[in-house]
Amino acid sequence: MNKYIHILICTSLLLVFQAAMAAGATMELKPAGIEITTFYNGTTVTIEGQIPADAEAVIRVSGEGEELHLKKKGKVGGLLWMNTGDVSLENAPKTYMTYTSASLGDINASAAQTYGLKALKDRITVLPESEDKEFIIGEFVKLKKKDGLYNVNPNTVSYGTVAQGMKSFTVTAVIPPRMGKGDYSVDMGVVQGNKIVDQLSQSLQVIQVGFPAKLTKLAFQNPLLHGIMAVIIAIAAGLFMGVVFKSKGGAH
Amino acid sequence: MWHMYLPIAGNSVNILTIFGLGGFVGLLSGIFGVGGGFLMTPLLIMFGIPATVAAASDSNQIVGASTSGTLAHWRLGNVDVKMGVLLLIGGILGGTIGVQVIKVLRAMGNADFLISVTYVLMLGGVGSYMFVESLQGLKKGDAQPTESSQPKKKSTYARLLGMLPMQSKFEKSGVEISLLLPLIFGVLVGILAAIMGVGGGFIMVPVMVYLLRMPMHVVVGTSLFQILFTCINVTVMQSYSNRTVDFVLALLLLLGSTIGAQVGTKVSKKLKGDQLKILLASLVLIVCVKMLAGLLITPDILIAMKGGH
Repeated sequence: MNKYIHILICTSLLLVFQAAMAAGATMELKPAGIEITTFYNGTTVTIEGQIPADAEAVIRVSGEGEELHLKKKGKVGGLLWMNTGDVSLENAPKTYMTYTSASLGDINASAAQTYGLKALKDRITVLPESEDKEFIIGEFVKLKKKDGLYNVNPNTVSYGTVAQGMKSFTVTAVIPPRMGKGDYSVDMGVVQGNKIVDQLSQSLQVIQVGFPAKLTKLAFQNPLLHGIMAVIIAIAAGLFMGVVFKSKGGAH
Repeated sequence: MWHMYLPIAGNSVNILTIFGLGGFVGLLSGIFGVGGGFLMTPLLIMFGIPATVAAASDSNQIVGASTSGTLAHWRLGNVDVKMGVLLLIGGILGGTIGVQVIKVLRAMGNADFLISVTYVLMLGGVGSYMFVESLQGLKKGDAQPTESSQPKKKSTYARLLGMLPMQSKFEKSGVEISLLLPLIFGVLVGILAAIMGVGGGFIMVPVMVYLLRMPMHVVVGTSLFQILFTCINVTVMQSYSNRTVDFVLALLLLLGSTIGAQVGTKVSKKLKGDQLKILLASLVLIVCVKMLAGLLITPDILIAMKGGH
């Protein structure tokens, strides 16, 4: 009986020790938020912090889930490629970018399953359910990769010196301009051995300010006025150019 | 530094690239009297603009380019307002019918197949006919029979036209035809344009040249006049119903296209009718080959976002 009590105490101590080590993990975003201005062309966010010296950091930047309607392409009559049906996705993240120090597969399977593109299979719902989920998600990932919104970036987490059992880490996440306004989540998995021992999360808010914000507000809150204004300015530009060219003797 | 953020498209673009793109399509618009949507929308999608925003914002910029082009052609006496208004009324009626037709086709489940095949056949047929006809015209040299609105010998088609009621003289076009004719052709082009999801300039131009027998230069000016009103309607409707008009994108395109349309009109003035037609025919055939390649070559990705053309 005593033997079992000793084993129980040792296991508990080990778990407490592991938790204490991982509890020291920290993560900070610089800048903490992103502002989209008139001449915005994407930016970078530095993610840095501390993790236990013998651990690896796996970081993921992901967007809110959205509902998407897609067209499925297939061969018609054995010759022509065209749309052969509709398929919908629910809870598909707007963005999904993962950063690791080595290739994610090399770290361990559970990290890949939680933070890699494989995790999308559990996250996204494909409708109708009769569709081949794996195939549809695979093609969807290709589509998002083409847009630069889904990617896995191995060898992008770099580590600093070890002090008091902890080491610093830094990642520079490239934020593409297509990652529009919204709430994003930056999640970090602290991987020790073949286990994820801790998970940290911070929100990253992308907002429009100044001219882009005003124009979006007008387009969504007063769409008729926005449309009429767009037409009037287009006509005015066309007439102005006509007058300019006439004064240059262009159109005679 | 040279980038600007498009708040509705949700992406940034290089200002000079979009300016150049607008200039190029505006040039084609000024020369041939087409809106250029069939070229501009795929190009914008290639530069990372969502399909629905690309199509709607392009309509907005066509308003500017066609205002600029119509004004330039107006000064040259190339706009037949009476003909343009009749075609426009027909086009609006046809567009409304076309939207219903597409609903029925979608319910039948073979809409996409029919649209793709119609697109390729229309482009191929119209492009080939124009190319061969204008080539023959060019070979005949200075005689320029196609510029003449009066055929030497009245064909069966011309006699049939003469039998229609409500005959009226169209001064600018130099033709005397029934008022019903442009109205009917307007409806037919409107139906096709709605089914194919395009403005229809490249169908309307050959219809005006071959079926309404208008001189090529008047065709270009009148087509631009009609496109202007069609695109005003589309821009307001897209902004109101779908919130897909990106005004910043349209403005950047406009800067290029309004200049391009003016230069295009000057180029158009220097070209003969047959030269204009053979160039437009080549353009239509290139788009046809591109469409056909898209249907025959296996795509890299077997799904696509809904929306756009």
